[in-house]
Amino acid sequence: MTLVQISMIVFVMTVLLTAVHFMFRAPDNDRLFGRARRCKWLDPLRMLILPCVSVFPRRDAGFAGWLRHLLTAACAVLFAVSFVTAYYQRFLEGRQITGYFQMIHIGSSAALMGCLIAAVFLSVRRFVFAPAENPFLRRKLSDTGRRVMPSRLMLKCMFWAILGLTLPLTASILLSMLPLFGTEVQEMLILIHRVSAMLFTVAVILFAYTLFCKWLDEVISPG
Amino acid sequence: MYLGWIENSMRDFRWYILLLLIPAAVTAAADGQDYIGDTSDGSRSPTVHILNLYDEQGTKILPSDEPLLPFSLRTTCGECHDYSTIAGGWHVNFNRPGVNPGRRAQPWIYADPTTATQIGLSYRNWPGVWHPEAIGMTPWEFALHFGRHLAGNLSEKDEGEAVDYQARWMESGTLEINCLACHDAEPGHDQSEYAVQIARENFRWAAPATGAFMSVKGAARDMPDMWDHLLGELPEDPKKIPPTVYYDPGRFDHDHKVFFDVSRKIPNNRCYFCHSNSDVLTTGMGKWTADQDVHLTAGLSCVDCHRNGPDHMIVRGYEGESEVSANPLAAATTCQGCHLGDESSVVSAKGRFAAPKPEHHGIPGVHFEKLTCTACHSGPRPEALTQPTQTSRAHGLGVHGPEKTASMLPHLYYPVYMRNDRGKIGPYKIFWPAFWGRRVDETIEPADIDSIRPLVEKALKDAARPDGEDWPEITVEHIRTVLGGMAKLKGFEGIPVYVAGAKVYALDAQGQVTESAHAAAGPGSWPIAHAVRPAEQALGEKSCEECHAKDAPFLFGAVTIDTPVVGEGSRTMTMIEFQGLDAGYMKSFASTFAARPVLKAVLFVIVFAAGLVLLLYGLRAAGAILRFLDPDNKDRQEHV
Repeated sequence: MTLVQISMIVFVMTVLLTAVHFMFRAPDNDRLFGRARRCKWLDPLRMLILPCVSVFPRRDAGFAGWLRHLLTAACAVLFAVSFVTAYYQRFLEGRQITGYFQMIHIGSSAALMGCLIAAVFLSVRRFVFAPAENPFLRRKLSDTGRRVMPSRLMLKCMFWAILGLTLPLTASILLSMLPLFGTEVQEMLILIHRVSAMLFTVAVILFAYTLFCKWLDEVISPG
Repeated sequence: MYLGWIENSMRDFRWYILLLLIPAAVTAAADGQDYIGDTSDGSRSPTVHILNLYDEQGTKILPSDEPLLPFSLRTTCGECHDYSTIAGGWHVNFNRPGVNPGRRAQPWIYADPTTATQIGLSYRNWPGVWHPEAIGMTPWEFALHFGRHLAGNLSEKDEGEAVDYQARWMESGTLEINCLACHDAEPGHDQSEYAVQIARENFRWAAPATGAFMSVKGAARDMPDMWDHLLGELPEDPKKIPPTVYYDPGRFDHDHKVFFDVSRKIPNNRCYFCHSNSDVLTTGMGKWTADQDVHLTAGLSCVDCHRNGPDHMIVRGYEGESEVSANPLAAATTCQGCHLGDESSVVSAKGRFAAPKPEHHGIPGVHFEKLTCTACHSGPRPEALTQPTQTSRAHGLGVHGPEKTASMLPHLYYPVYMRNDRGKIGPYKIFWPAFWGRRVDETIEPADIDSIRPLVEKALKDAARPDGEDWPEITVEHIRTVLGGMAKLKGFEGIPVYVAGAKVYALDAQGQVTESAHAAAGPGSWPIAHAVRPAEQALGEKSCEECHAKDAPFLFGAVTIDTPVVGEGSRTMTMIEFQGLDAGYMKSFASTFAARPVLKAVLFVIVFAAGLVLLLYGLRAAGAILRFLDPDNKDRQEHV
């Protein structure tokens, strides 16, 4: 089985799992959109628009909040562009990334990484694990204190996964651009890049989904 | 008609006599016997060839014979080697039906300034070349034109059913396989003499004449029709000397045997006679400034790579040859085979001849999928405009006599980077066909050159000829005259056309000359394999911008369109038009290379920043965990 096939399966499984998960945990449409709404048959469309709405910051968000949201939105757009340009030719045309797709991919993914790092610097403190969030430690200490929401833990895990994967994803390309390594190492670096990209994509999907779920929870039950 | 019948009957009669006289050693092939020269006991020491000389009939030649006859390679070498098997070898099987032509190679180029013709010919079915019959060239004429660089194996039998009344096979003899052309390692071997003998129609004397211990005087060309060399009859004109061979009597031993310094290890200089290239502008006719192939510099010889067994199906050494060749070394003997190894090879190839493993530092792997090795390592580096070049076979390099000017036809240009049959881009030599022909529906084919020659020569009589070996300066009026004349020729079918300079010229209903494009007007081409340049001189070694720049010759170099038509000579095409690439994209892509240093800096900052955050928070997390696990830490419950 090739890496392309593995990637396809992994992406489909990830999307399916999140979709199934959302079906079970999704709040009632009446709670979400209000009972008095018209044209209830448009609910699926409303559901699609919701993630876009979630990008906007709260009214009371400060400059840092606005900037963070702006960077997150930029990251989302750039990720989408990078994802499409990276996988369109491989999945649909069965060939390597080349041509204008490659050029756009290089530009968008470099910008994505730049925005991502900026966003990380702005929000890294919010994603630091507290010992209490570690289920293993909690069991070990027979802790009975306040439980942490699993979505929050998931969000943090995915944040660090994204940051951790940024390193091989970017370093592999940087090293391959330098006249340091021969063909075999070059091929290994490209393989590292592809595997990292696959895992990075999964992490981003799960992060975005968890973030959306968290936002939904806050919308439905403010405070 | 009557004379022709007598002539044919005589020829047939001679063949019957020849068949009766073929020695037993040669007929052993029919018995399926192994020839002593084609088997080996495993010794790596060379066989010393002290041989009897046999004439065409298989009779042993003695220095006292009167008249002295030239020795025949078929009977002399055929005593120990299977001549019929050798006749299937790559160098001599060119006109055998059913031979897979493999990758296209240099065709024979018929160039005639008087008719403004330059056309690629080959008996092999390669794209862009024509079978000699297409221009009415018979095997006899083919032998006369190109025999100077043929390895032989042409005879009256190759004429087929058609009778060429101009042919003089009886007087000239057959063009036997010239074993000495390759295997004679004696310094006194003169392959140029072969060309001289071909020009004199001394086919049966040509190969022996190249040897160091014999010489040939006279010319069968000067002998009358039906002249028989066995009868030793002299022509009436005392100035005309019949072909006569002289042997060095000192070379015969007591048993009338002769030592042949022939070798299985072919000297490079033997190969060079037919496989030399000359860069017209840079090195010119002189060769002292030209470097040779890196493999030869490293101590290899041509036949270290280009090997063959008794069948003489020599390895050509191109990627994919193993798919069409039965040579067990075909897969191993490619650039990749020796330098990287080839899993499909039946022999262990990686590192043969101490071939270094290429590192290709910093070169993305996609280059190896889209380019041939030769794209970066072979031939001259590309320049803003393609350069003229000459080759042994096209220009008769190495042949004494004819003056070879820089502008002589055929006009070859290189390097042109084109896509090969496997979709990879590599360097090629090209020529632009120019010929008078006919168009039937959408098919264009050349006309019989002899049938239109008087017409064309008359029409082009007043065309300016700055150099007798170069193109005549043809005007549209000349083309109109010739095409009009061709249409009136008796038996001429189709629409007369002139193909030149990537265009097809024809007459419209009003008799005006029109121009159009057609595949037949496209360039003839063949890949450049040598001379191979080392890594330090490879294309792209200096920087990526050698190819990825908006004006990089590799992509955007100008390819000369060669034509005799006045006013069309300055036209060029861009290299990328031969590569099937999008010029707009390649220019856009090239422009990104200016931003590459910035991109690398940005990526470095990103990697550094991500690494720093991970390191700092990783250390912090490790410290927190250690503190948390410390049983003496009384504050740990407060964290919960």
